[in-house]
Amino acid sequence: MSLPLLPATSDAALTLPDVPGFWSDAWRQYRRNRLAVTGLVFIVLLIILAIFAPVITIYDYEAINTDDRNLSPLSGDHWFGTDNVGHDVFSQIVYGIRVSLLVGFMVALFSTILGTLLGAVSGYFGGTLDSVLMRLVDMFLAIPYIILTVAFIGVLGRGLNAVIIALILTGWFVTARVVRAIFLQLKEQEFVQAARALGYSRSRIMFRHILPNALQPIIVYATLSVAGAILAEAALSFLAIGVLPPTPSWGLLVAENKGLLATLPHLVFFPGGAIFLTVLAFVFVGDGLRDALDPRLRG
Amino acid sequence: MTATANGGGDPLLSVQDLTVAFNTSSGTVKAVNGISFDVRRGDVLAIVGESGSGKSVSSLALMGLLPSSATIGGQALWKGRDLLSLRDRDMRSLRGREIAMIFQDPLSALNPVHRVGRQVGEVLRIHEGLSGRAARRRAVELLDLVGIPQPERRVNNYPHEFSGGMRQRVMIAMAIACKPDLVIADEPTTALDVTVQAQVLEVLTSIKDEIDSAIILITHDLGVVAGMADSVLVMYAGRQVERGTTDQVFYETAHPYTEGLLASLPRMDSDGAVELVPIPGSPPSLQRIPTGCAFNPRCRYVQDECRSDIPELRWISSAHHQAACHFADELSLAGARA
Repeated sequence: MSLPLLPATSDAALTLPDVPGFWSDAWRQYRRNRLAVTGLVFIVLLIILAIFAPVITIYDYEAINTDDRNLSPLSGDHWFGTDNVGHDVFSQIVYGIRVSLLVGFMVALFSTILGTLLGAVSGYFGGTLDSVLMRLVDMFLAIPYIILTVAFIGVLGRGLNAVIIALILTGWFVTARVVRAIFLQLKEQEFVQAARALGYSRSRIMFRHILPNALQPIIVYATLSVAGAILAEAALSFLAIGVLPPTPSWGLLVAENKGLLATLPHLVFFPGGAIFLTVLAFVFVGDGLRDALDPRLRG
Repeated sequence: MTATANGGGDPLLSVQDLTVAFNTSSGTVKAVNGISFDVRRGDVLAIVGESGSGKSVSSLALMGLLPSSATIGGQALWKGRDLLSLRDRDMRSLRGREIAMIFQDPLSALNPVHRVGRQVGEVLRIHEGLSGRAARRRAVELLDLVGIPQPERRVNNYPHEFSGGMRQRVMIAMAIACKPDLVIADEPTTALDVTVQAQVLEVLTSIKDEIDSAIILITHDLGVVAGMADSVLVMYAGRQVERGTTDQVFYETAHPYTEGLLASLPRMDSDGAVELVPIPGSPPSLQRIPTGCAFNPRCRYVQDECRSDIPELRWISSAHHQAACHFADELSLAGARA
């Protein structure tokens, strides 16, 4: 069933160079950004510390040692010192990584999924559904973020899970808007028309054909929203409306020890610094991804 | 050539009085105004016209791909079923399987993030339920069939790694993957270099014979029509102005607009002595179609009657040949220079 085919065109004569794939190209670009690499290394380190927390720490973060109170950093086994009831600050900080990363990753993952789904549906179908969803987003965005989150926590009850769910519920608005805008633009592209002309279902077109073209901004925004969620959890816990003690939240540690700033500054310095560095690391990674994944910014 | 054009047998697709109107903020715009045609297996029907003549809109209407702001009228019988009243889901199972479409710009019509092999294979996985591996094997065969060299390597490439002509071959491979009965090619060569155009048309023609399908070729390029089509439908401002076999339309031209189109066509064999004659003026806005014959402000033979009455399609002396001109029988128009 072969055809009398055409003579090979000039295309055939060219040997095809192995063009690096999109992801290896992006990785090469990413590696050039030192801050982004530093941020990534820091995050990997945090993940290792979080996983091996029981091995790394000597003391239980809840253990109260009345003999070893108010120790400054580098006092024997207490590398970060102890607080006024004898908690080992290093253990608190290391176990705090678990809380922060759990909140950060869960919130970023699920709010991105939620925002992407709603934004995709809104942008692709348009019409009344789009209007209703987007007005809802407008309405939520008009309420100060922290108040809205507190309202959700009020309904859900306090605790780590409540904080995570509340932050997911308040975290999808911007993603939905961004994804909607991309879908609005991409659904007019000819390849979408072509996919419809081939008889593909709407969900296939939305999630197999359009979504992969929108992944770059979604990934970048998801990374930045990890930082946002970690910061939000710390803020809520600091304000005593977040996680409950004795959960080792960095925000909670800052709050508990803020009165001792003058006498025992390390008790605020370590958890505060941990929040600061972790958030910064995710922001650097997000910026690095933005540059690496955006072909227009490639040098 | 004329034998297949109007040969016997029931038509695959029979379009009757197709109308498409769009509701816009500035009123209703009639983009397609009562066109009719039949397509039989093995036929190549060319729909010819300038931008905005309604040729692409007609094909999108048949495929059910127009936005919901469009109001579609008339009938399009496909193997006895009316395409225009099919349910969404039935239409979807027809698309790509029985009726396929090739688009103008093959770069934007291919998904930039998927490998070519996956895109060609996907059609087969959806419509024929092939496994990933079998679909891929078929994809390689199809790329080979449309003349892409080293197909087993090329399936792993992305669309941007292909040249324009090669991309259009990929589009053709996707369109013919399920051996459709009808391929609608919407300006398939317009975005390509002239040297590549002929190759792509040749692929299209040989594929047509291979899978025994019909082709609706939508184009503004009469050179493409002459090389490929059996019959021609000329559209102007959403209306059909002339139809017949390619020979009839080219050599027994019966509508002044067709004459104008042919006169503005450069010829390779003229020694430069024959000047190209453009049609004066420009096509009317669909919101302000002139009364009477839509072509009357640009027509060199215009009479009072043309300004008041819309001409009906009328039979010209030879069979199958129709033109919508009040004076089709009286005018002696210059066709293509034989």
